[in-house]
Amino acid sequence: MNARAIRSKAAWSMAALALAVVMFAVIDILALVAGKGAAALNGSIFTTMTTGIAGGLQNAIYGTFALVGLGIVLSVPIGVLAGVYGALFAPDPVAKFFRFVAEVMAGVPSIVIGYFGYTMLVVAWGFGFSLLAGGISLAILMLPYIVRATESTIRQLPHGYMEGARALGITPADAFRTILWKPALPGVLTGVLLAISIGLGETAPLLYTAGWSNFDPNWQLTKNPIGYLTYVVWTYLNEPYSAAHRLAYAAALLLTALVLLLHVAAKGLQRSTPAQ
Amino acid sequence: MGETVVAFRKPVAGAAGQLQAIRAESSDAAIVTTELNAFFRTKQVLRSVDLEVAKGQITALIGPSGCGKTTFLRTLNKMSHTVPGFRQTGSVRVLGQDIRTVADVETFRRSVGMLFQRPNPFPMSILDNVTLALRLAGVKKVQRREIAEERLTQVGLWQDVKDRLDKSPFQLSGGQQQRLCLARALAVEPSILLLDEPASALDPKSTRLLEDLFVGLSGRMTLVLVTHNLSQAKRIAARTAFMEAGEVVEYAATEALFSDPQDPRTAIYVQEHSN
Ligand SMILES: Nc1ncnc2c1ncn2[C@@H]1O[C@H](COP(=O)(O)OP(=O)(O)O)[C@@H](O)[C@H]1O
Ligand SMILES: [Mg+2]
Repeated sequence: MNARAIRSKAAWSMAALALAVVMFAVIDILALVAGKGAAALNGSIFTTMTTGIAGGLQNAIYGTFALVGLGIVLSVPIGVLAGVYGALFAPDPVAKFFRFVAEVMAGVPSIVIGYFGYTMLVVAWGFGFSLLAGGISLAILMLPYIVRATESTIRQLPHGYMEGARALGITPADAFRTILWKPALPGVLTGVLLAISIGLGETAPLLYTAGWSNFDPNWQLTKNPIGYLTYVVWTYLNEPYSAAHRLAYAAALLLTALVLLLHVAAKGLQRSTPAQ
Repeated sequence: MGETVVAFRKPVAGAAGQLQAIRAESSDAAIVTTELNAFFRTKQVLRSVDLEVAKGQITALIGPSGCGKTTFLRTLNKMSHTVPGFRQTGSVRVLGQDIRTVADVETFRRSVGMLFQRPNPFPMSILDNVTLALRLAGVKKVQRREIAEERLTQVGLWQDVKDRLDKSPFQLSGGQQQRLCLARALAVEPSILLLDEPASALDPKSTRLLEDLFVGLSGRMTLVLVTHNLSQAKRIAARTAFMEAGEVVEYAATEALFSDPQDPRTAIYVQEHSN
């Protein structure tokens, strides 16, 4: 073996080792969550509310759905419109600026979004710890992923679609409405699913905006704190009680299962993307 | 002023093409470019192109790749103008109108159809491919269907697709897809067809089929054909322009250009690329 072959072998071995370490860590975490979570899961987790550090997770499950749902309702229309605009209508420099803003937004630490949510929404606008403050914070968190997914999906569509439409005297708006949206849909949905899974897993933006509640969401938009699963994972693991730990692991397992499900769905969508 | 321009840039002596060129008077011209320069940002891609394309004929553009054929073609229907950084100086008159004065570019493009190097059917049914532009123009459904049948028949596709009009076009062969795109372009009744190496991705049989269609269309329609296939130009083009590095080096009756090139650059290119 010459020196180059040795170096190449060494590099590959390093890469394999790194992969093994990561895989080991991931599998270890998943096994821990699955094992401890499964042991803690039972029917009453879904049907009872949290009482102190014990009880069930119904309030947190509903709260998570409400918060992420509101985040989606707010971020998808804005994000998709911005993505379509950036890909098809924005003059070049504007589109570049858009992408830059989306990059920066995606890179903002989520705790900063939480802090913004607290000072702006909770305090200044007087929403209090609430579904609205939490939902808006999640929407801000999810927005850049949806914008980017939409824009890059449309940009990656075959150029022939837009060119063909232009050559026929079809306006870009009509071209989007009648030709491009369909092949773009799977990619956009994949981005939305990714955004949902990110929203599901975030704690920081919600700690200072949604608060926490032992009760099911009461569908008040403001002034009423609301529970969510990541809060349980985040705080109950630090409690010195095994009942609290059990709840935390059950919540972690639910979240992991949901995120896994979303990623499988996203993969399925990508596969269903039509050729051409 | 475009009216007085002779149809080639450098006067060539004694060629049969010269007579032809002079005979292509402006009233017979579908397209007249005068001192046309085109730039992508600072890069000049077309250099002082003076060209008259006669009505109702097939005019071919040949030349090495990268010499500006596509850019020239796409400038004629203002597709180049959608590229950020594109700039045009000099004038282009299409069907008597300076393209810079075109207010409604969509309507303008409906009179100047285009076929691309790779067939590009839309991701929708075969029928919708042909009728989409008509639907957007407000043509009624029954009428759209009639026009679709007419056009698909015209391009020799009707028998092949009449039982799967609602199916995806991507199952069709490349040649069939390109003819579908031709039917799609014809549906809006253009007066000019711009063809950018429309057969370069096709087998010889599909190529011949397409060529026959182009010949059938000429007369009623003006066709500008970019091709890297010199025998294709010989087979179907009345006139041929040879371009190099953004310039039209020579423009003459096809016969004359190939058999008696006046510019040494043309002679070399034609010799090197024949068969
Ligand atoms: N969108 C573009 N931006 C910048 N340069 C371009 C663009 N399109 C074409 N060009 C350049 O213009 C020149 C002519 O290209 P083109 O018209 O495609 O030539 P041809 O069709 O004869 O091969 C080439 O040098 C090419 O790199
Ligand atoms: Mg080209």
